[in-house]
Amino acid sequence: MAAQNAAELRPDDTPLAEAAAQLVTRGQQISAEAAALTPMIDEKTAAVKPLAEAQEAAKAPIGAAVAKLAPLKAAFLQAEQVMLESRRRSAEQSQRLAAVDERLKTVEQFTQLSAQQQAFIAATGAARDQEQTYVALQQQVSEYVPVVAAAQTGLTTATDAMTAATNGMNIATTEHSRRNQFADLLASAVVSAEAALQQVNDDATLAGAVTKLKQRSAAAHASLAESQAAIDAASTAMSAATAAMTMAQQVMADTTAELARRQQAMTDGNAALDAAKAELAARETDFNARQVEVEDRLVHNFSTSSLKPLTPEQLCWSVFKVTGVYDRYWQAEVAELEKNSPLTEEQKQDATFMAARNIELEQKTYDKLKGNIGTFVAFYGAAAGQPQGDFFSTADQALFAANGGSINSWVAPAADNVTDRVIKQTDPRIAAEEIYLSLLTRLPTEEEVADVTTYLASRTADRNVAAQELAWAVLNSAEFRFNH
Amino acid sequence: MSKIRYACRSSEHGMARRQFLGTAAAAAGGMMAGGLGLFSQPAIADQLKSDQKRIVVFNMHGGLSQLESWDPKPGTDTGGPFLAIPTSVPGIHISELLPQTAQQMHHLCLARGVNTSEDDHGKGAYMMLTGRRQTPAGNFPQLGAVAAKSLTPSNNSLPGHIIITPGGSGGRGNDSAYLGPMYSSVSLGNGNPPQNTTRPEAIAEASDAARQDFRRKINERFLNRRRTAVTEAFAYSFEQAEQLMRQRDVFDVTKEPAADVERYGTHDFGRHCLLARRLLEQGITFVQLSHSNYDTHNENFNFHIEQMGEFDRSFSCFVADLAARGMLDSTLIVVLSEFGRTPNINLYYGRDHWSRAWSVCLAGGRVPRGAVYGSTNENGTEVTDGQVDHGSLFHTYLQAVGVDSTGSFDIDGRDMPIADPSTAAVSQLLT
Repeated sequence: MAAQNAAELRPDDTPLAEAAAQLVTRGQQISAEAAALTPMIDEKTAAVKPLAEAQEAAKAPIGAAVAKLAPLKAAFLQAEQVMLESRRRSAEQSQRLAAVDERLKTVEQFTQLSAQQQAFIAATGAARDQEQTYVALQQQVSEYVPVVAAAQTGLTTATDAMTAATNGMNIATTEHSRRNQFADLLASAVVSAEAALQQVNDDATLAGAVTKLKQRSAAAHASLAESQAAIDAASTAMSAATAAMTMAQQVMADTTAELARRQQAMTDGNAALDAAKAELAARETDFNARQVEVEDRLVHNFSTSSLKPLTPEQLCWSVFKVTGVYDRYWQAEVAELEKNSPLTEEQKQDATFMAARNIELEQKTYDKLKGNIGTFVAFYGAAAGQPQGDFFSTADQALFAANGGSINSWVAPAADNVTDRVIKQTDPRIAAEEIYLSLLTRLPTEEEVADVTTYLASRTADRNVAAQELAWAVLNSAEFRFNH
Repeated sequence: MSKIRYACRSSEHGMARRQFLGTAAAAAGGMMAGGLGLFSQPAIADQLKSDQKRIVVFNMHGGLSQLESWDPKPGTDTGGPFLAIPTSVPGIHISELLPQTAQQMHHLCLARGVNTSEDDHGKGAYMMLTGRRQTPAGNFPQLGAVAAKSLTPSNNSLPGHIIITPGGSGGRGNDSAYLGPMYSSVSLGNGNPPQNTTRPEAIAEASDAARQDFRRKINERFLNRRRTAVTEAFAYSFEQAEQLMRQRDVFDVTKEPAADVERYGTHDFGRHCLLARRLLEQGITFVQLSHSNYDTHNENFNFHIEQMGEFDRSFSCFVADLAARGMLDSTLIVVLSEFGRTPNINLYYGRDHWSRAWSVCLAGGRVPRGAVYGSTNENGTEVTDGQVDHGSLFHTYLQAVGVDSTGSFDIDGRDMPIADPSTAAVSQLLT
């Protein structure tokens, strides 16, 4: 219609008129089609009606079914709740179980640790016992050495006596046979002389000679008894010496055997000692390895923090702080600054000014001490360009700590530093507290108090040195080196 | 057994502790710088002693002229004034400036075809000592650090990597890169023992012993609660320091016979060579010493007469002694520089930096005796045969002492090739 109106308004516009005409034609066509379709409405409505009725009829059973479903659904939801709850519980339970398991493992490790500690202690005791046994065995050997020496001396004496007796016998025998020979010669001379005298009677000279010869012969025969007695005496001496010799030889053989037995026992004892030492070393290694395992476990389950080494810079400044070096330098800077620019009363009241002055002092102190940081970095830091986080420990660090000038000079007693306080403290308990509080910021345990007390008590003569040693030892302990 | 306590001083214990450190560190998961791979090898002292391999490097600082030493070219336009002389090996001739070394040629092996293509002192030295080119991405460990890590027996308390420097006060070098400070060089400034190995006079021996004992006691209390691989390493470093102090004589060259001092020469280099011999004999894995200075841009020939004279005497004694003592089989000797010197003689009678054709002298270990590998052309300007470079030589050095240079170091779980994997050992320089 609008097109028609437009066409009327612009009668000279042919294309518009044509279009309008087309639209009119199309409108008429549609109207005709609609008229044709109108009767079908009723037809269709009628057709739908039974369906709608059927639907209405069906609604009732559905409603019933839905009504039936509702309690089932409720039951289902309830069951679901129960299931979720039990699932949650089960998760909780298994978590708890895992936690218990973990704890159990920890406990197991502790049990093993304690077993290994016991083994280590037992091995320590065994090694000590074995050491004592060995010392005793050594003692037995060394004790027995003089006995063997005495036996040796006895044997030598007996041998000498034997030699002497043999000599005596030889001498006596020789003398006796000589005398025998002499007596025989004299006897035959007497016989010959008597025969000669019978040939020439009354020869006074010869008769005299015969008489003399007879006298000599009788004397010679008499002296034979004497030499025979000497032989008998020598023989007695000889058998005595032989008996003594046999005895001495027996003693020597016995003592030698005994010495050998004792030496063998010592050798065995030494082998046993070595075995005990090896066992001890093995038990110690096991025990220490287990300690590391336990430590790892406790760190990994967050029961304890992990040990963190101090950085070289932290180490240096920590040493300065605890040994009082920092404070000494600070005070020197305070004095210097006070001399050069004394504080007025007004400035002392001015918080901002005082804060600035503190910063200045801090900077000045830092500047004085910073040279040492380079030294610490050189020893305790990794090389330039390498990761600095990884821990390492080298002999040159320990040598620097022990023999370098720095740490030794910082633990020397100076104006009320920890060493100085320990030297002046007469109560060893307070001295121990000074050391542990100053250097490790904690109180010592009873054992540690006892350690310090014993240490200082044994060093009354050089207490100055002893106090330095204590400070040095604590500064170089693992407890100081690591944050824990 | 007066000392039943942790960390006594017995050697068995040292072993056990080291072994333990190794396993503990493995368990802790690589917290330790450079790893502890070698500590985990249990070993027997005697066996180690006999198997111990060593390396000694003579660093001819500044760039030794190959033409005045190992590869003379007499009678050519580049040869200079010196002659070549026959050696103890028929057919091999070296410079007449090395008459005594020539008599030891039957122990030596010359690589005459070295081409490193790097004429800068610093870069050349870096390449020759690490077997790699310097990169901005990272640093590589020097031969000494590699040798110390690969060859030092686990029960050796002496440092494995020693550098004898002409001067200086000693200290720890920055030359082990990712292998960590454990393998950094310990330098002996002018041949003096390592720093801080003498107890200060103010501290009596008994006093030192007392404080160390107390330190152990405190440590033991702490470690019984908190024992880890790092605390073990820390405690062990003090034991190691004490052992080092007890073994200080190892570094004392004055303990060597006066006759030897005379033979080696009373100059610094002679003393350093004698010290090197002593250190190697005492079981130090790696010793590097330097002879300075060969950077002869002026008066090359006069300088070499003087320098070579010193070197010849000491070096020939050193080689002869190692051979006589049966140490050559287990000890590799390397004479290297950052580069050689130009065949061209400049107008100051000098020779300049030259890396395209120069020589390295080797001896000992698996290196063939009395041999020459590689050659240069008639006037020494080009390698004509058997070309080698810093990378292949680095592999060769290590393989000559039984290290598998194609392997890797495990650095915190990362494989770092021991030597440049893009090259390989020179098989002709190994028997």
